[in-house]
Amino acid sequence: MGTTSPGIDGVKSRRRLQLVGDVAAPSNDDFLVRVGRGDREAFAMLYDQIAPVVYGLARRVVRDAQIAEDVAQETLVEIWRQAPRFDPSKGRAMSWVAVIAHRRAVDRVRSEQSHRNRDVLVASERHGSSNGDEISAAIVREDTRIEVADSLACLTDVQREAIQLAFYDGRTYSEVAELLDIPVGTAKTRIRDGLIKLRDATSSIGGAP
Amino acid sequence: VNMPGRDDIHLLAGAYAVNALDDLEARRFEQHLTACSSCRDDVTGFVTALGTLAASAAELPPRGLRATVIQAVDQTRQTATSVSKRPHNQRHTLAFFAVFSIAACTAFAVLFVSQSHKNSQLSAKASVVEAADARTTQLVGGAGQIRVTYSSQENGSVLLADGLASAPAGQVYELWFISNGTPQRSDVPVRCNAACFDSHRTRTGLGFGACDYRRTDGRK
Repeated sequence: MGTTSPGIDGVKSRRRLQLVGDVAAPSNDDFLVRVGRGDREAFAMLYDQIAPVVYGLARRVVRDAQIAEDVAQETLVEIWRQAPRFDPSKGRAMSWVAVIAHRRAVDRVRSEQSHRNRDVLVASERHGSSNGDEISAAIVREDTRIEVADSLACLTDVQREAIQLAFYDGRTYSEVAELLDIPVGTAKTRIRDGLIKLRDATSSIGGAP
Repeated sequence: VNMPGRDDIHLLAGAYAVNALDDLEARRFEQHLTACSSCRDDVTGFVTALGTLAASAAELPPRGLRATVIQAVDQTRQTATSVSKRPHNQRHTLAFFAVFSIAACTAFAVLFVSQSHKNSQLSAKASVVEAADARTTQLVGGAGQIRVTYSSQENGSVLLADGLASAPAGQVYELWFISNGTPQRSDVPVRCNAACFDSHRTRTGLGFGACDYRRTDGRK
């Protein structure tokens, strides 16, 4: 990666070099292993790394900020509880965390109460918030948007739509079929084909020398 | 309710990975997983994609959450490493771990390091924006506009370049701070449509009206 090309290529290679440099620092995996041994200090550090993901995912799935906060709290305590089961040789901490967080959020949103609440919230979210909150939200949005676009760019429009409904909205594939007015078999296939592409895209990024 | 026949049960690996099966189907599929290694491989691969999708949704948690969680954790016992009984609603997740544990996926190391790096940046940005002395100012120039939030308490500034025209190919923007009449270039390249964080650059006494950004050749 010793490129000397300026501009956009230059920015990219700097960024990658920096990431490679980070590998030496304690990773989420290290923290989670320590948490699994009952290390509360490590948990506080892990919290700072994973709470934005846990909360953000809950917020995407359940919409309601208050319910999302409850779900995030439950999830984070659950992560503490189950941490002794984490084995870094068998998977990355962030995937482990994501599985727990998504399952929790989906369980919550499938209760009728949450479905009602989130419909109300879509409407109320459109009204303004305070300046500081708005900027915080914008920062996070701008930051994540590029990565989301990157990871979803490989999908066709119909695959993206199906994955978004299933993953970010917590819908079953039958609901996805109904919402998109397509046969259930098609919904099933779109989700699967989309995930295959995402998986392959992920491994080609992660596996680059 | 859609009952998959024997022929298409393999197609459910994707829906299973994103928790898009109802309880009955999920149970049937888990049973199928015990006998089908290709579906186990699929689910394992999909879980890493799921990690990426989840990380992409990162958002600043409410300020009070940290203290609440830490306090709750103080009063919560961890599970033993080998546990045979568990509450019903954790069934999916735990079955999932079992599947996930079948193959290690080291290829994703770089990606998740990137995520963890991003999240620590996120915390730094959050502390600036949420600081009691945080102030935001808007800079307008020929290329568009940017917003800068800065805090002396946190000794940093956060730049939001969401109103900036794309830099020409091969070029990036730079941000210059003027401190006591001396221009200093920020170490952080300014990406369009991105927010960046710059530590040790507050210059609150001078005001950001003196800041400028311009196109450069991107060399450092």
